[in-house]
Amino acid sequence: MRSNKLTKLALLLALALIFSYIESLILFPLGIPGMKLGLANLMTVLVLYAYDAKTAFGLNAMRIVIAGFLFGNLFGITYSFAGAIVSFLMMVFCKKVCKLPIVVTSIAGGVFHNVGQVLFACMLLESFVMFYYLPALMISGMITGFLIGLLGKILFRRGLL
Amino acid sequence: MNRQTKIAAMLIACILIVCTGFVIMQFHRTTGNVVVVEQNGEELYRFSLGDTIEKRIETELGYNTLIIRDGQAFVQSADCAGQDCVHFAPIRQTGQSIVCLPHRITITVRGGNDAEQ
Ligand SMILES: [Zn+2]
Repeated sequence: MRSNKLTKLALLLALALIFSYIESLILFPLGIPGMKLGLANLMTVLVLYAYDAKTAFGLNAMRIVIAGFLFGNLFGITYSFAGAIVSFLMMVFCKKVCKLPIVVTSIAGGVFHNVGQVLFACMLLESFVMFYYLPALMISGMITGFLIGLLGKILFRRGLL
Repeated sequence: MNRQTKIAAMLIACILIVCTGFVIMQFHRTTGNVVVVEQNGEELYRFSLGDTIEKRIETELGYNTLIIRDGQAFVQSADCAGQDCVHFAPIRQTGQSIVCLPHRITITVRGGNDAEQ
């Protein structure tokens, strides 16, 4: 791995951890805890577009495990992974198969992160009660996904990656 | 319109349609009158939302203290990881839930008028 890439990835991981920390402090405005805004997804989207899916997945997994031990708990890690995997597969599909721009991929990632978490909660609880909160979560995922995608686009245009 | 724009527009349209559908459904919801506590899909307790109740829900996974007061329900304390259930906003509308994922517990407001136990 070239030192240039290594440095950038390390910086992005550090940034993502800061985002995870901020997220752990913010309670979801609708009073639905455990659901994160998905700010740390910025790093995943950037790496996915700047490098490849393998690197993006590896870095995201590291971020979830480290953030889980620093600011959360073991249960939070499994819950985060449920959202991250669904979101990640969707983003890879958007980028590789549909060749969509970064902003749209990011929106899909944001929405499906929350969809993944609700599905995981449903499986765990053997109940569909969490579907009540799905629309609010999908809209919030769409908004953060859009903002993150826009930020990513600006970073790319300025040649920061 | 090229292919990418079409896919992107379809994706966003799908999300919006799903959301609008749910939002319309929300308008049909009303203040409920029963609070149902379930674990792994099995009903544990059923309370009336109009009563004043403090119930320690004990299961093999831990406890959650449910409070029903002033027509709304919330979890006052629990010994679960993350404490998410404690941070949920109080619920009163039909369909609203408080969930405790580590304890596999759901506390849901329902509209039925057969409050027992
Ligand atoms: Zn809990």
